[in-house]
Amino acid sequence: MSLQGALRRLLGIALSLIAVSVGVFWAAATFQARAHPDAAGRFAKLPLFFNAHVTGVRELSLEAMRRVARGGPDAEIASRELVKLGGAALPYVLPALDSLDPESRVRVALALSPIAMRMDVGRPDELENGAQAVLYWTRFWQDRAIDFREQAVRHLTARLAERAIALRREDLLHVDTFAVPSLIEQLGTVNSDDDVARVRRLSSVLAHVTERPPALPENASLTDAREVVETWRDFWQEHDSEFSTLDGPRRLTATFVETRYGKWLADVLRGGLGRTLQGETAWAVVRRGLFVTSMLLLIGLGGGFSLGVLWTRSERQSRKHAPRYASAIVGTALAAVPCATWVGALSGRGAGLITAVCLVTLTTAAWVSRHLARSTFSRVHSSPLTAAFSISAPLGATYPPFVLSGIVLAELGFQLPGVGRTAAQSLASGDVNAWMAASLTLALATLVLRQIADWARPRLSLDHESEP
Amino acid sequence: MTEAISPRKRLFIALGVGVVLVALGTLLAPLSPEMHSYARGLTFAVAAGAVIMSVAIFVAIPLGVLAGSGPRSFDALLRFVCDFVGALPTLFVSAVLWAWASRALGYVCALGVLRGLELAWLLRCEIVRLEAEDHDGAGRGLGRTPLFVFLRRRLPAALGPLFVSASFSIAWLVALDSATTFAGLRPSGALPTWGLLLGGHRAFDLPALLAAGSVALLTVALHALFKPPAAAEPAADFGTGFQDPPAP
Repeated sequence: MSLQGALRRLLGIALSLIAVSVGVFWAAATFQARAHPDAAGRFAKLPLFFNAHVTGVRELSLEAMRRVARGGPDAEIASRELVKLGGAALPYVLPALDSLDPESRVRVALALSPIAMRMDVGRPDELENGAQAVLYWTRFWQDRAIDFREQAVRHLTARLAERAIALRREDLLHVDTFAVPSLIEQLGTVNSDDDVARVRRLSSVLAHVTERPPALPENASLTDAREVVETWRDFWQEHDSEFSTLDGPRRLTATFVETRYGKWLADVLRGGLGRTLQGETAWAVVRRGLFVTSMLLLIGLGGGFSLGVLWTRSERQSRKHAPRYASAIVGTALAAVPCATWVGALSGRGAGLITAVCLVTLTTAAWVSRHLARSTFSRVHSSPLTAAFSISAPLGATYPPFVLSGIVLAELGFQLPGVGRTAAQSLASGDVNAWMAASLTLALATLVLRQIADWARPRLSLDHESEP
Repeated sequence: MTEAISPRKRLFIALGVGVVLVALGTLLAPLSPEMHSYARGLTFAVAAGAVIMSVAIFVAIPLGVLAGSGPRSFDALLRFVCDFVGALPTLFVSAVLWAWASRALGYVCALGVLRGLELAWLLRCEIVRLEAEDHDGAGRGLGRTPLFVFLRRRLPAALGPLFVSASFSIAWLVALDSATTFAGLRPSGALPTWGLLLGGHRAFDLPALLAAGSVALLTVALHALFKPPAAAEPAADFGTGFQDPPAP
């Protein structure tokens, strides 16, 4: 195979894997929708692959402001939303205050009071009265609008990340949640004590403005700091759009990013193929099961295929009817009885695993032997190896998924810590990251095996110019 | 070796097996709830197997022919689709299709399409193989058009393995059903089928043994019925054609 051919095949595998990841993700969502219709995951409210109605902080804050302005029972909930959005909402809400009627303006100004308290810029007596609150926020925006600029806040955050100075911290508190994107960005990686100190400073501001707990204690270790960083990244992944303005290309990107698939992909890009529900990285879970699954794959493919070729060979050599009938009937019947029946019947027994593996191998052998057509042996090739390779292309399409299904059952039946068992259990429990990692590993194995099967077919008589 | 069993005899064997199984199911059904499940499972397996076979052949023939002898883009497309649907263990695909389809008929039809794609790939490979061997050069030399040669010679020869492969559809369905049950991925409220008997952990109970035996018997009978025609496999014997797998 030429280098160009090899690269083409690799590219084909990569592209197929991307397409398969979409299908596998849809599969998980579909299964969950039926199995656990009431389950609410982290991103359950997001669409699956395309978000036509992306909402950033501008849309959220203006909507909340309108609801507060209208008054009524919904205003209370909307006020809480405004407080949660915090300083990030001010650049949109405060300039719009003038457009409201006086009564609505008062309601909105009062709803914003907790933000001023959190920012340490307002006293209760300045904000308790409606007219005073309106006056306060009007002046606030006149004085401080210039502070609510992305560039300025990024500069402040970078300086706080470098050194601890109380004034910088206060400056950041004064812009409240407007600084969250920059703060998350500055968290970086944790490799030394300096990094721990940086994370402590930044997480302290983050915890204050978002009113969330994970700030880092004084005597925190590297591991603690890494965990805190991960927690904040999880938070950011979930609430990104609540503190970011979606404009231009970013809005376009958000149609994909603000979906469940986009969130999973972001999780993968953070490293370790995302985290499972147990908090482990999905890659660690898959890596643990790779050996068992590879061994079973070797037995299933190597054992079943070789046995099948030999079986067919011996069947062909018999010149009498009776042995050929017997072989055909036994082979067909063996292939027809489900692997699950073998595994289920033997899973509780002492030597069950060995027996089951033998039976599964025999079953696959029966199936493979059925594939080896007489014509393939007698007319095209003489050696069993060449004959086996000649059917590798058609077999490559169906054999690996078939063997892998048997492996999943064997792993489940005998409690073997393999990738197949992880995939089955995570699909049943709704652990998307574990399911995606395990199923894509199995898919990669299938795609590679198929490419090998296609490549291995003999070039002499079966080559076909139209084959890709 | 000459033809061992005539097509008529094969048909009688297949019909005989069907009649015996139906009679057995009817007789055993009133005896116990388990036997009743066996009888209901038999009805489902036969009906669903027939639907799967029909849908699969309907999907496979045009796709396989286009991919094997049509424009190259069809071949690439079929290959991609097969890569796509075959990337996961069939067990998971079945579980998801079952969850996705709101009714049993939808699930069975979806399985038929899935099976049709696999069969289409087999057909495509067989057509490519026959083309490489170029048995039809003589026909073209005598002035036959390629389409005529294709329809009269190559397609019938290539269809043999496809039909034999399709004869495994009942076993394939039952295997998927039991695997899904065994893995705990069977949707709640799904139709009671043989999967419950064969995929449970009491696999050597009498009803389960009966079900396993019935699947094997049905498959052997269908296999005998759909053996490749003599034209496709000159020295063919019983059970020597291409076949497709039951998923485990």
